[in-house]
Amino acid sequence: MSDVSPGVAAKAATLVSFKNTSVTYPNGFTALKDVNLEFHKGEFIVVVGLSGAGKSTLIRTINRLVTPTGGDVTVLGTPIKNISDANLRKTRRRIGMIFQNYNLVRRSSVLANVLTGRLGDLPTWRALVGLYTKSDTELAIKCLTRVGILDKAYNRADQLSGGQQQRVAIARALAQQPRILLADEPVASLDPPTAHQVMRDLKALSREEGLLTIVNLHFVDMAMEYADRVIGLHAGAVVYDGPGADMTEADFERIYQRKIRPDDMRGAAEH
Amino acid sequence: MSTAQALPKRPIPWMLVVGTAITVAILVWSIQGTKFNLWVLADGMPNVLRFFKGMLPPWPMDFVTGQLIPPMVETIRIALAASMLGAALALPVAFMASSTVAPNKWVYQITRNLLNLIRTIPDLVLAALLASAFGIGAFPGFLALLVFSFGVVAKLLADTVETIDRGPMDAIATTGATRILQARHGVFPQIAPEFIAYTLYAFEINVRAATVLGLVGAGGVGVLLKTQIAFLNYTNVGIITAVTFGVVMLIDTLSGTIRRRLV
Repeated sequence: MSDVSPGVAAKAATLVSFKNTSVTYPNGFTALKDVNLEFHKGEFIVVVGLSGAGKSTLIRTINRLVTPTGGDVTVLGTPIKNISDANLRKTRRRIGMIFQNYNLVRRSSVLANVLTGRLGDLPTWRALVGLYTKSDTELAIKCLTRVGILDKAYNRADQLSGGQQQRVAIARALAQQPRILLADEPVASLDPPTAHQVMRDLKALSREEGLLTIVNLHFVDMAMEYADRVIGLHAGAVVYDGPGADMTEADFERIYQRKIRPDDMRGAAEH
Repeated sequence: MSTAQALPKRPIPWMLVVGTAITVAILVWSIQGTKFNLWVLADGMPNVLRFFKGMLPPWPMDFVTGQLIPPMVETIRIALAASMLGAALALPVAFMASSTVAPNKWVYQITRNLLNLIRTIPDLVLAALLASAFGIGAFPGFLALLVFSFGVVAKLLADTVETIDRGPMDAIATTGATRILQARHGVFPQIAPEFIAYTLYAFEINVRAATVLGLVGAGGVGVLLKTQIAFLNYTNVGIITAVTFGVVMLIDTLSGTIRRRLV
């Protein structure tokens, strides 16, 4: 990859790099303070912190739902702060995103929802009419098979359970053939067994496809269980960056500014 | 217990007194303007009766099939074409006139104001204007109702788009799709039932409007109505009114039933 320096050639390619990135919202709230981070191909990263610590802003800066006010973020080789609209769309095509509320078109079928992941790669007239190619449909079917809900393809999205809807959202992101997957609190609306199932799915995808995956989580125990690397944020600054297994009580207290409490835990998977 | 105190003197409700006086004055002044007269009302009653008698069968069937049915069908065709084409044109404009989808504040403000302006033009006035420009017949009537349907569907739809769930649109934006595609695939499926319902609603109003368009020379059953009134042929006026009433009610009921199933 072009952005890998010779000295670290053995390391996986850098897909995202934050350089002195800051975000101050128009209301004066500073959500990110001088963040420097590099994310690589295949990494499974979990971002933890209190609400308001900047987790969501960090993730949303990568696909520029939020624009950095200081520094820049280089994503897939392109600095995104002053990127043109056309190039932003091109970059976003390779970045899948899933949300806490799934954000599916509730009245549309599961298959129609997954196919919207293909829109960016279609010629405009085909995309407008919704005339997907045969290979688009085949890919969508593959993605639905991958998350195990192909049998629901023709159901309306709102007939599905929360866990199933989140899997449709994952399939939609996969249909983009992404190199990066962003997940903003993907399990916050799910019960513990379903939450663990979704986390296992995300982890397996990251492994098998070499997908750089960045997940925001409120719960520390889940972060430790699944993450290759945990980023701890407090007041917009990175206060922990390392393997989940290495986290100590002191690290928790730096992130949360207090002793760990039971409600910081989601609970173990019932498997 | 405390000793009972005297109720304070009631203040004069000036607002009520002055308001009532002004309302009564306006009412008297406006009724004088209508030249309302009980004697004239009584004098006209036999004519009204004759008119209602005309509505009762048996009808001269050669008038109904030969003279009434063709313009009645034309009326419905004008209304159908105007509501369907008007709604189709309204769809993209409704997106531009809602803050959720509009690409920027300027597009939003300009389309909003344009829609408000369009809806201030009474359709009969517009039909009369268009008839003087494009000649007498169904065409100016169709154009007038097209503008009306466009205005009403665009306004109602724009307000509906304002209330949608933005989530799917955001999700589609993050796949790298343009704003038009976000509207097409993230918003349109959410508002499709309302879109059809508003089109039917415009159609119901158009049928009623199309029956009187002929009075200003813009086609439909109104042309026939105008000539029969001119010939003082009250039997035929009664038949036309009765049939129009039946057709409008039938279409309202059908269309209304579909609308309620949709939304």
